[in-house]
Amino acid sequence: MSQGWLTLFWVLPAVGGLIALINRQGRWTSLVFSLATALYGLLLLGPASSGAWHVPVSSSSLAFGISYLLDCDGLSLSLCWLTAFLTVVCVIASWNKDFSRGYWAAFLFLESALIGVFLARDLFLFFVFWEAVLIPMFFIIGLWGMEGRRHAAMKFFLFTFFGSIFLLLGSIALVTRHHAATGVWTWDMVALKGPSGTAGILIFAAMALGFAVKIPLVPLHTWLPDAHTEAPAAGSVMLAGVLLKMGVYGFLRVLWPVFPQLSLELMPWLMLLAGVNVVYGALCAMAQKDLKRLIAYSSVAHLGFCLLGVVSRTPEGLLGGSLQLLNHGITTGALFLLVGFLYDRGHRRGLGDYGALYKRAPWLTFFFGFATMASVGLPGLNGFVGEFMSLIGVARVLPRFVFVGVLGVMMSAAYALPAYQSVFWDAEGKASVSAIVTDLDRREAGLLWVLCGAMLAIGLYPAPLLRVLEPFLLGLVSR
Amino acid sequence: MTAMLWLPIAVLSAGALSVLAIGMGATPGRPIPCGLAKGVAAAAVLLALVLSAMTPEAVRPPLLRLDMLGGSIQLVFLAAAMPLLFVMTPGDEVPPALVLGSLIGMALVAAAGSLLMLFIGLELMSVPAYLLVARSRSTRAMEASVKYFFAGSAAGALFLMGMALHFSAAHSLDLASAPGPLGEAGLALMIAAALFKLGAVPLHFWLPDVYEASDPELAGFFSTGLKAAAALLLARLAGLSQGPILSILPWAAALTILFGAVVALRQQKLQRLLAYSSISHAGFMMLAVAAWARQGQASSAAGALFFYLAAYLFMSGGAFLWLKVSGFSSREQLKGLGRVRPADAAVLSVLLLALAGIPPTAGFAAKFLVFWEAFKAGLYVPLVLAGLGALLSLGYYLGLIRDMYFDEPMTAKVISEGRQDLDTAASSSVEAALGQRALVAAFAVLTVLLVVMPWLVDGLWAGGGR
Repeated sequence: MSQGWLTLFWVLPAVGGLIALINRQGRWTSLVFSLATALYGLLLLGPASSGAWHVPVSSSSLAFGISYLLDCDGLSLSLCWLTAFLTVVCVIASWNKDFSRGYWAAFLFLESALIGVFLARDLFLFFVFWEAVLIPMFFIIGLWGMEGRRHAAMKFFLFTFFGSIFLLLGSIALVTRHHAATGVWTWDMVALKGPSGTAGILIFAAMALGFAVKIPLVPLHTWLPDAHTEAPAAGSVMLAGVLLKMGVYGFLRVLWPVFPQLSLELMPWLMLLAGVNVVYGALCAMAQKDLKRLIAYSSVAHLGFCLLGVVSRTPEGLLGGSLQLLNHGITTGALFLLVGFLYDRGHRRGLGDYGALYKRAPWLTFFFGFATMASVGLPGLNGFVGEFMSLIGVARVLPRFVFVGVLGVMMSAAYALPAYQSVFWDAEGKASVSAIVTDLDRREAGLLWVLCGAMLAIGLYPAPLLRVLEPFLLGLVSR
Repeated sequence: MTAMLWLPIAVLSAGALSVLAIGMGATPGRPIPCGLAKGVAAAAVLLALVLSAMTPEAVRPPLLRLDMLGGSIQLVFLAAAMPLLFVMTPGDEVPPALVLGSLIGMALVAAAGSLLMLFIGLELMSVPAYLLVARSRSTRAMEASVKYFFAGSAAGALFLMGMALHFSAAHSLDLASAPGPLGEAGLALMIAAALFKLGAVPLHFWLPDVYEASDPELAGFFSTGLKAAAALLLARLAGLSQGPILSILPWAAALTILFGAVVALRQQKLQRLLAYSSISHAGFMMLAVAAWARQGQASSAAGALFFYLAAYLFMSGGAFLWLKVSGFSSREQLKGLGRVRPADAAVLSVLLLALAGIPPTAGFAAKFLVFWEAFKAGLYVPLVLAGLGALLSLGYYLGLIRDMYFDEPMTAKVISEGRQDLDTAASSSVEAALGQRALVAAFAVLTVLLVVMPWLVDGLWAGGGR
């Protein structure tokens, strides 16, 4: 019963993608199907949160212990919402673009694969969806991106595939070891238990490597600035908004339940990695002269922050880190969208190419400022809630790392605010193209009202969203 | 019941003789009916295919023994000949007969119960292949054929020497382990011959030239049919070993995977690129064989080898056929194809993604099964190397897709200059062949659909982890 309804969730956009490929109204098709998927996702809240759909560990499976098993709890559902929401945003944001139908289909295929990743409970199925995400994104970057798209698309694919190989090998090792210990062949994430000792560490490391490329953890992050900068605006939104979350989601969904003990033992090391991400990402962002690249590096730092919370394995940290995943998706999605709108008008992205935009484009200035504030964690907006909770979580286990977190918050202000200032408020330089920039039109402003509204809503009253996230995450702690 | 074992071989032989007989009726006024020759050959292969699908596992001492592995791989190479017979444009009746002759050799390898039969099969499947290369349209066909012949003779000589050593150790030519270092040395020589045929590094040097000079459809048959038979030959021999060979084989496999992938990265000619890619894939087949032998010939590992060969039949066969149908020869010509000829580009993309092992294609399932079995066999480090080889191979598979979609189209002139080395009449008639295009598209669709096969055909993988 539940399998059918959940299958519909990922099949719906895929069908839409196929239809978008074969008819001439690609953008209308993608709008209809992305909206339908988003609404359908909202309808799933009832059954998913009631636990009525929870599938018990079953032994029935196809060969090799692999089964087609989907599951949907609050964490999955909220990330699916994020995916569906941002897909709608991307479709509307690209509305005036004269792209071929493949573009519109690619976003629906991407959405389908992403929802599949978040719904899969079978590790094999998870891996298949994980890989399937690459193909539409590869084409989105490579076909509709900027000048360096050719190179960036390859780099994106190869880096992720590198991690995927280790993820696959680690999964095979995990399943085989589980069979050796229990005599049961299964790929069910809920049933799998990792071995202890050296074998456990090796398997953990292999799988974590696969996830780390996606997050991305320094030094595996070098695909990210290229991919985000060269992708079309909507592609960057999906990349930063959803694709990066897959890595942290992998930690939460796979590694934590499978290695409950080991993940606690390795916590200091993981936290160190996350802390390096926070600081290194921020330092890199400070050095950037390209607005899109700057936001890309800021994602490295922010995802490090999410991981910091998630790694602490305290209720606050897990909730804060997960909430921060959603927040970052909305906030950075909005920022990439705004840079895209700016680029559409001025055809430049350099910090020095603009100036005094507030005169010509007040709404653009307002929304960019709003999203920047959310990004640096201004209280009252969503970023603050997630970062604060993450820090509480960290403080409860390894207080030292709170300093890293606070440093990260300060540094985020140190790169984001000057960039905002130089583009929107400082006097125009000689090379400024601000004169040709027009303000947002109604469609664009409408999108940003929605995004900024979400930032404000989560910032003021995060409780409902936290309640959705709670069951799975608190379950991790009580184990 | 054991007489059934001879039936596919008999049918193929009768088919070959009939095809040759068709040619005898030709006089200067009456051209040879090549279509009829092809049809008869295809009918013979089809009949053999049906018969061998019905053939049960059986032993008929001392010469014949057909087990699950041999029987199922026999299906692969028989099926691999069908597209070749469908697409080839022979000048007379000889090439179809040669294809049948090669298949007889492969069928002997599949059903061989003694080393003698293996050797006869090995030679019989190779000799027609030399002639087929020589009759290709490329200007370098003759040179490649001679090269192939000498390399093949060397392999044959190795096998014979190995057989001699084996006989002196075991005093029999049965397919059974020979005791002592002499037996082990003999086996090593015979395995070297099998690796020669499979194109394993460093015994691969003949392969790129041969594949490049052959007609694409023929190269496709070599890369799928001949390779399947060679993998079977390797499995037959590796199954006899308990010694150090089994610990070397996985490393040789990893080396082959990596080497093929690295060299393919630099290739500009498509057929040569696919040739090196086939070397890399041969490494995966070797890995499967090694995993099979090291697990005491587990049927699940045999299933993995079979599925790899079956999936490879459609991926690689499809890619070579695509070259034939499109008439392209160099990477340059693929640039911007996604815009000029979107359907062709889409078909090739699916085939390339399958070759690269990206889900949801059969290529992924095949690689997964090999990884799975190799892991169970404890081949951890070769496995990681194989994974890195798969990553490297993305550089050219994905690189071709990138060229097709992300680059500006070449001018029409360059595209039409494709395959300068062939006579223009052939390539223009190729353009028109709708049936061949449909065949390639069907191959691409099958590479995707086959992905479910390991999970549906459960019987083949008894013990696959239920």
